[in-house]
Amino acid sequence: MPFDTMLTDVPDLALLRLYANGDRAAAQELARRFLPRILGYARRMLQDAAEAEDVAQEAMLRLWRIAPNWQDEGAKVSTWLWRVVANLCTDRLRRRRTGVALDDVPEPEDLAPGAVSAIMAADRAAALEAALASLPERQRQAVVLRHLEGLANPEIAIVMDIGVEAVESLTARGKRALTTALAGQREALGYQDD
Amino acid sequence: MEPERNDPLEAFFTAARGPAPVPDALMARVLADADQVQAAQVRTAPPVRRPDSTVAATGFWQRFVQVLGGSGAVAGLAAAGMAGVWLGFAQPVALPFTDSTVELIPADDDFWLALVVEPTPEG
Repeated sequence: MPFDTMLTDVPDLALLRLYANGDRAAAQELARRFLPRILGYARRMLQDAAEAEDVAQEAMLRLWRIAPNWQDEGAKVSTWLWRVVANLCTDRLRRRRTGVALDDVPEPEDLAPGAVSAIMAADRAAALEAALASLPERQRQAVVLRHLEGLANPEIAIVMDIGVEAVESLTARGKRALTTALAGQREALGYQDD
Repeated sequence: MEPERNDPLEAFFTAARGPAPVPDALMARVLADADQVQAAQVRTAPPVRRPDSTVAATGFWQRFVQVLGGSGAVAGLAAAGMAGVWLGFAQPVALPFTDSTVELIPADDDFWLALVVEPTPEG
């Protein structure tokens, strides 16, 4: 049995300590464990594959750097990493908005079914991704972390640096907007057959 | 995360859920960063202070167990060891091969039993 397959059961914090002590296999396992999820999240937030890769790489770089100085005060490695990724995405989105005329920034009220009816792809995943892209950033962030990445509300609150009630509010508003945006696609996507 | 059965969006979430495929080039860059940072830290870092926790995640016994194949394998070894100790102390029992010849039988149980059981005095 190759040694590195045994690392799949090792907790995140133990892997991080192994990495800090010079274990290369621990870095591979950490990357295998985290990179797909943070890349997926960054893609959904930034709608740009190249930028998403930059963010994911930067987030992992920060993890490598903090490893020897990690203070074990009860925070999960994953929560810390989600927070780093979320902040990096927010920074990039803010930079995009700088210098963009206000008229070009989509208003939340513009989430008409017509926005989604322009989608070419018929499958549900593509429809959801397009609908998510039309959400305001904070609603999109809350919905993605909750319903696609599976984080619990208290953890999302830490990642987004807001209260749990605020997370619930953002999630509820985001889902209402998604429901509206996707309403026009339900028949086309065969949803009513479920 | 429990699925919300009556949520009309759940079908869409289910379809979209799942980790993104990671391009090989990105994984290579991330691991190259890990190597570079690690090399720099090994050159400059002070000795690592081991955590005082009695259940150290990277303690010697934890890694010992992992090398042997996990806690299940170690439990099996411990059980086999204890069985051997018990057999050594137990009263002899009547067994089929009382003629003191012991066949090496393919089945594992019989093989190990043949090694630890002594022939009866009548044999």
